[in-house]
Amino acid sequence: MNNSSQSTKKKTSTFERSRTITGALFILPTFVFVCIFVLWPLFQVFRYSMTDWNGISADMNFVGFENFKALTKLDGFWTMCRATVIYAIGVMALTIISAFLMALVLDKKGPLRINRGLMRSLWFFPCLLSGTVIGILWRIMYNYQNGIINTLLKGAGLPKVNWLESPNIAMVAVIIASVWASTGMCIIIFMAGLQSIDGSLYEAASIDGATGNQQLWYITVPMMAPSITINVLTTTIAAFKMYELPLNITNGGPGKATTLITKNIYDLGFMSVKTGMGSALSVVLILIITLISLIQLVYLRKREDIY
Amino acid sequence: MRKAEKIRTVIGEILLAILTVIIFIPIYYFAIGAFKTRSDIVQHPLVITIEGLKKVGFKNFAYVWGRTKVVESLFNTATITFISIIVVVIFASLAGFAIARVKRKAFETFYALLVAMMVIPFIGCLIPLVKQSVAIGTYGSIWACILIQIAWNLPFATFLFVGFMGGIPKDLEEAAYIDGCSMLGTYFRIFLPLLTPVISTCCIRCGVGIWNDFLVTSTMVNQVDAPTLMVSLYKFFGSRSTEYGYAFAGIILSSIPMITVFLLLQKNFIKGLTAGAVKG
Amino acid sequence: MKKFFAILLSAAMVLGLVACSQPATQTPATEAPKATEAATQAAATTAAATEAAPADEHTPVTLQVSIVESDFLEMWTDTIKPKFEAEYPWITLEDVGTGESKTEFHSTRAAANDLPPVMQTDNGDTYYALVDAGKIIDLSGTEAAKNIPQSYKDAYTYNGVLFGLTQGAAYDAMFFNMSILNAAGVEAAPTNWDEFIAACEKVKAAGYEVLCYAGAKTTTAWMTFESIIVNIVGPQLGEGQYEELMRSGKINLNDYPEIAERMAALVPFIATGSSTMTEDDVTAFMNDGNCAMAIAGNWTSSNIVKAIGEATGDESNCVMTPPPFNNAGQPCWLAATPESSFGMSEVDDPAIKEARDIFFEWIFKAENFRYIQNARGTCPVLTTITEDQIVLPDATKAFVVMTGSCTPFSMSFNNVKSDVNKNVTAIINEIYTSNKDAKTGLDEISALIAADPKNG
Repeated sequence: MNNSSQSTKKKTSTFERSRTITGALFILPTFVFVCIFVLWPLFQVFRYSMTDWNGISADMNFVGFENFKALTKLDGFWTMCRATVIYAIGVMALTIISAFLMALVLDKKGPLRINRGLMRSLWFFPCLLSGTVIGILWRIMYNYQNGIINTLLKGAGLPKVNWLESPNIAMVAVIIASVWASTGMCIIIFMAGLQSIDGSLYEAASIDGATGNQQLWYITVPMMAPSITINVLTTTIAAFKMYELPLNITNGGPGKATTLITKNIYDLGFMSVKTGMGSALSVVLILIITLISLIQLVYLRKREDIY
Repeated sequence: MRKAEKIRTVIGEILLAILTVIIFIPIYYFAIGAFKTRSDIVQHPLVITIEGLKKVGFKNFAYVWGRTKVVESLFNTATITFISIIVVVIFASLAGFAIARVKRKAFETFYALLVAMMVIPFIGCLIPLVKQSVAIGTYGSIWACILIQIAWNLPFATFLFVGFMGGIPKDLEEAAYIDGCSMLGTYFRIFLPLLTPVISTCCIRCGVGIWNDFLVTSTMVNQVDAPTLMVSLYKFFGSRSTEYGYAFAGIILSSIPMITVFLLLQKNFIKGLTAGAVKG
Repeated sequence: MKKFFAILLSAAMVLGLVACSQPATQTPATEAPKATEAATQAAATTAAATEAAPADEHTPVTLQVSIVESDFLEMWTDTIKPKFEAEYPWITLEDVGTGESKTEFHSTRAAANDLPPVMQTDNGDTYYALVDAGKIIDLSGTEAAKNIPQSYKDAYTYNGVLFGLTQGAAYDAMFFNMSILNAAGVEAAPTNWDEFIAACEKVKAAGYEVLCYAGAKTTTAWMTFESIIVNIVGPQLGEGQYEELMRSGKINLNDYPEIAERMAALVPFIATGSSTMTEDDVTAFMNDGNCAMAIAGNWTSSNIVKAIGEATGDESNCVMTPPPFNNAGQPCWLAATPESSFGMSEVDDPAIKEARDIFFEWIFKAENFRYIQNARGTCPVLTTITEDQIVLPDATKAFVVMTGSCTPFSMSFNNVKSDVNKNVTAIINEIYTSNKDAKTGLDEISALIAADPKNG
């Protein structure tokens, strides 16, 4: 491939060749590490997904695609897939919107001179906690009888909300907590994107008489396309892989309303010793994430190219 | 018109302040929880009375301090995080440099593969990883954690570095080559100094995950004399009763180092993401 | 500014640590007498034994014990561990795997071929698989097993292998806040189903929350369900039959229409939010003094008694009885279950094997076992334990007396497989939050149990 334009200068070609070799050497450690510790276990997961292994016993029999067939017959399989997609998309959309708006506000110096660095830190703090901790924290806060959220609602004269006992609200509750946990990181990435926009663009626009909203829509959003891509992708992937946080808030309930694929992977693999099926489910999850990420990537890249 | 705009920004500002306070309530609740008893936390979530403070004070912290090997745990967790981060930064920046600056089809393919690796759910790979670490003989030592953490953080870190490297002007690099610099030389002299911001980003983003990790350390490190912070703390999340006060105190103790590092790196952090995000 | 903030934080941390370390050094000091007392006592009793087999003959070994229940962890570090190590100086005990996720810990340890020699086991598919793979061993030959009643051993037998000896017995209990009941016009704690429902109606009419339970935990969720079932099914079938049906999956709960009726009757009285409460939430809720009754395990009794005491100003306002779900004139059937148990895994190293066996027999001696029992506040299971060795909270003591007149039955989550257990818990909670009709729910539960019985 790199030899296509080699005919011109021999000197360049040796230089290019040495660059290829050095480049390959630079990549080598990363390559070796991910091959051993990521791809090899992944290969094992694929292998287990074709067996009836229980994770403990010595015998492991090849069963072909039986596990995948069994998965589709699993009680609540489609509910679980739907819940996972709703959760991931919900978390992604809300995180991106709230982080984008917050970044816009935090980027400018306001008339009241509230310290922006402090604000940023406050918004970032949730990102420093682990999913388990955040889950436990929010579960206590969502408590119907004496949780702080209902206490505040009651104080404001509003009716209490039964956060965790009705299927739809429970999903909303879990999404809110997850958005709280992931917004800080996105804000910082968005702010970085905002700071890199050339100020003269805005000046030119206001001379042309563009209003604030027009400037936002025709300058800020297009210029932010790359950071939007990063945020959308990483947030979606993280949401699909999220495990501890929803688990600790609702434990999958009510019923199976907030049971995500990851919880089932865990349950199958560790609680009901069906490692084969658990691995098959991992494979399904990988396929779903890859598919959705690819769609996003193609769409977002197209947008980036337009502007 | 101008007046209306001004009023609007003031209202926006006030809204921002209120929103920030709301966002911060859970953290506040959490922080004061460390100074309260279990039933107090659930019953009076937002207030902390002098009376209650006198009764509990630093007792939760003292309990955690007395019941866990804090110093050893801190040392082990810090070792795991520190070594992993250093290796991740070196490997990912080298790979990122090669992928972003030496444009080869094979490298691009590998990059696509790396990005795709970000989607693999860790929980599914736990059992194969345990078996593997037994086979290669790292099982039971913190090196098992370090190796796994490095490998599982490399894809995202490389993703970050590639985005950053792409944004550095080409003339800088070419000038270095004309001056007779080797590729390694260019990497060290031209790129590394420009890398500080993105390194900060990488440190925080991956560091938080490694520092807070429970799954890997609890399954890989079975040295009881060498506990890690999260493994020590999770015993306060028992199976039948959860000592919230102790758990909160422990988590606050354990996250102070992270908060400190975050505040120190914060300025760099913003710049790093600027550069990374632009050409992401 | 940020640097300053960071320095301030670090300073705060250092200060905090200094502040902590002072009480921390005091804590052991106050507890030391207890530990040393135990140690000297132990040293005295085993002086002869140590002379017979001098410590130098043994190479030092470290014995890993996986302890799951964090509520006797204090007792473990302060008393049990020092006492054992004083008696057997060459063995060092280490507790591992403490915390919430026990099965995951044990599965990964099994995958690494590195199970802790002594480990807490539970009724769950992971442990059945470990039994099948021969990784945890049969305990029926041990000295300790002789002192555990057969019914508790049955609950921990899988495919003929006794894989765990329980650390205690747990009972289902009902806690009444009598000052609320009195205010609502109920004079005494109800003793049967009709009285109970009448009391619920009065309490509800008086504007209080009626009944809460910890739905977030499997055990407590099953209690609210099985106490109803067995008081209907039990008298018809006779003792021990219900458990058999559950184990073999041959039970159709809708064959007994009263079950669905009673569950439906209970729904309006369940306090909103119960299905997601943990035992802590229940305790705190009773502490608020707005809820009249709670169903909970006897192991939480001391917390709940204290909570009701705080709410009403007097602990005697708390009455603890078996759930009064029995028909008038019939004895009450009471859910009982063995708690987590101790098991042993297969070990190659002879020195560790010896240490493992020594520790296992040691911990099941009454004079050592009492520490676990008392720390948990559960009812005694060891037949050799003497009355003076048991320290129970007062409310529990009265309760234990009352249980004498009840017919005990083994709670079924010990008798079904793990995913059945998990799914049934979800359905129970759905019924009690009126997300699901009781009859439909019971049909689903029966189908789940029939599809994958433990003794298939």
